[in-house]
Amino acid sequence: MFDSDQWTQLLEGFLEEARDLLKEAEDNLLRLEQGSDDVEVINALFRAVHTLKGSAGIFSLEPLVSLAHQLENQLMGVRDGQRQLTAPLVSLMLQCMDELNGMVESIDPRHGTLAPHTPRQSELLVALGGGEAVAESAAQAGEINEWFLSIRFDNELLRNGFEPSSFLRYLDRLGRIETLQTLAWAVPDLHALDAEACYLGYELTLRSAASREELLDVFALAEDFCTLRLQLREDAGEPGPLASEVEAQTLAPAPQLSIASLPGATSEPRSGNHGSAMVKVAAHKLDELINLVGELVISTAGAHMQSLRSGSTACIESVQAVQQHVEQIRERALKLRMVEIGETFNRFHRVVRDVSQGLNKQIQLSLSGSDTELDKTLTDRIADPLVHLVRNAIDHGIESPEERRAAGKPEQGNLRLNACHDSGMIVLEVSDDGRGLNAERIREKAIARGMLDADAQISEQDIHQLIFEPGFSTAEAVSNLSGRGVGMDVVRSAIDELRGIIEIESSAGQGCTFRIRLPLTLAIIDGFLVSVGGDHFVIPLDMVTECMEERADALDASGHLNLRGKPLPSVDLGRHFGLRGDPRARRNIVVVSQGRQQAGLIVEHLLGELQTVIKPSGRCSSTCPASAARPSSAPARSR
Amino acid sequence: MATVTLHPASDLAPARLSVHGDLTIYEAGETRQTFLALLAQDPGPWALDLGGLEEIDSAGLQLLLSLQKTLVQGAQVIDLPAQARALVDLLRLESLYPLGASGAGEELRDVR
Repeated sequence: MFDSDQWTQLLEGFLEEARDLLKEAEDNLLRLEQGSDDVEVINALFRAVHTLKGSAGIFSLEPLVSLAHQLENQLMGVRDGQRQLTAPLVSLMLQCMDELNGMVESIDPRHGTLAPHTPRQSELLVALGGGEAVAESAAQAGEINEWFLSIRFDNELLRNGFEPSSFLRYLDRLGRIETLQTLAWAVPDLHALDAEACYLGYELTLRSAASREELLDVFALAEDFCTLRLQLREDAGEPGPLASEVEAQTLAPAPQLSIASLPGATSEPRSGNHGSAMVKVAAHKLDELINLVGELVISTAGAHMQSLRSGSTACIESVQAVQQHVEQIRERALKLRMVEIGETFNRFHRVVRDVSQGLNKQIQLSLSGSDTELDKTLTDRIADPLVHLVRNAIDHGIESPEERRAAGKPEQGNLRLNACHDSGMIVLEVSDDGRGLNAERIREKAIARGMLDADAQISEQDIHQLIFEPGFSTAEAVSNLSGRGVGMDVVRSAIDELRGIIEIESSAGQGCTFRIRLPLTLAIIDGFLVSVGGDHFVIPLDMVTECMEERADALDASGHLNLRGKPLPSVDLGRHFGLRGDPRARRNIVVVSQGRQQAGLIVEHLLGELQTVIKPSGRCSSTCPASAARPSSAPARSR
Repeated sequence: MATVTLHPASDLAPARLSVHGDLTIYEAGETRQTFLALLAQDPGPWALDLGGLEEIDSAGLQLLLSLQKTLVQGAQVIDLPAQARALVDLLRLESLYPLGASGAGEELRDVR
């Protein structure tokens, strides 16, 4: 029916879809548990599980189908008000989704087989079961029921003398076919077609007084040649979500005889067209593109230099035109990688639920700024540090209900995740309304561990930063979640790697906010080129606040400049890097800011804006203590 | 036995394929070969004149769907006899209806 490559492709499509569906289902389940009474949420949840089941059925992934089926039954009970969505039921369903996820991950797209149920899965099946018996007892009463039938025929059906449409005719006699979709997407083109093989399938709803057995009897003779799913729909009023719609969308377009191209003809677009606005692209392809664009920026800068050197106006002009286009391509290419943070945020519902239940704390999670866009690589790499911060906030930040009551706070703690853009940076905040950081205790601990001199005078801000030092942990009890002294330093090194910074804002008894600032993208930045002697430096343009000429010996002994009456901590780049500057050159101050901090860099020449490609520097610069402050770009070196 | 003829395209109309006789699983294999041979002459689009069909089954329909998928710019069915239409109706493959056959829905109810 398909060659193995096509099959693998279809299966990969399914696996990707399945992951999305499970994620969607989990999000919606958690939303329900938080008391959302939106009908759409339970419907979406139901639909996701139903679609997963349907699609898994196509690939004959029976263990997955049966588990999803039981889950669906439970959900149906909840939707129809027959079952209460209790916390244990939610936990059971979540476990079930985890198991389904595990099954999906265990499928090898080259074979597409799934091992039979593990004992764990059988347990879940039993735990989930029981709903079905209730649902189907109604069918025995002889009243009119609505059945959902999903039929997939075997290739060999026709050759064995069966005519697929005859089943429909027979079903039509047992009841009334309410909806029918013939699945013809599997029909290949003529070259690949085996004219005597069957490629069809049906999905239909049937209103009938017939029992399950009677319906199964219709297919009894052909039972070796078809896969049948028969399911009682309890609420006959609402048309069922058809798995086939999704199949048609994701697997292959249904072959249609087009009649739209002749004048006067009208053709209703069938379901499945609305998905075409999105294209899924493998992440590595985007990376390759961005990499190439990076190279393009570099080589264009090179070409620009050469054109200036050549002195030919025509040449310079055309290179400038190319540069403009490259600039546009760069912007577009980087935007391709931008994704909304919401998807990352949503998984915290689960994290918060699990962690707070484990610790017997009541926590309300609120999310804001979910539509803030940032680079895909960033979302991937920031997710783990965020999980750490969230766990830490729940474990150490938010007090137990008793403590909260004693402190006059509502028993339910609040945890807030927020994202926004701020002057070319992404800001991610994790805030809680817990006890806040205890600066005194951190200080004591740091002194005890020899990280701090006993008489050191440091600001509260700096004390807070100590919690990011390796091996620092103040939690008295080591829980299984945090408090082992690993974690916060990992958080900071992960953020350092992303060229970001983390700030802490804490007020005792009121709560604590961890604020992460990250550059929008990792690959290419707008830089500001400066030089000292013959050496060039690039400063991210977003950080540059102003530039001014340095007056003689303005830098005082403690390394501060006077900026309009305020002290500005400053660094003389030449001295810092041990470079020989030009003593005759006039010197300039570049004022840079990050977050709320400002600093001055003293340089010789201001050379203007420059697009800069950031690449990992080689081993030779890894020993330089200030290498992070020196994102040298290739074009800058080429001068 | 199916008799298949492809009338070449003119400036005004696409090539017209007429099918006479039966298009069932017994003819499907051979007819597929014929279609493939004709495709080599004209990759499409074709108009499908199925007015001469006497009998068709699911295998025949599959063959038509497959043909449609293979043809460049697809194919338009311009005539479909009652027996074939009954099957198309049963399977609700509305996209197979001939042009202008707006009464198809009513007929469906009659058949059933």
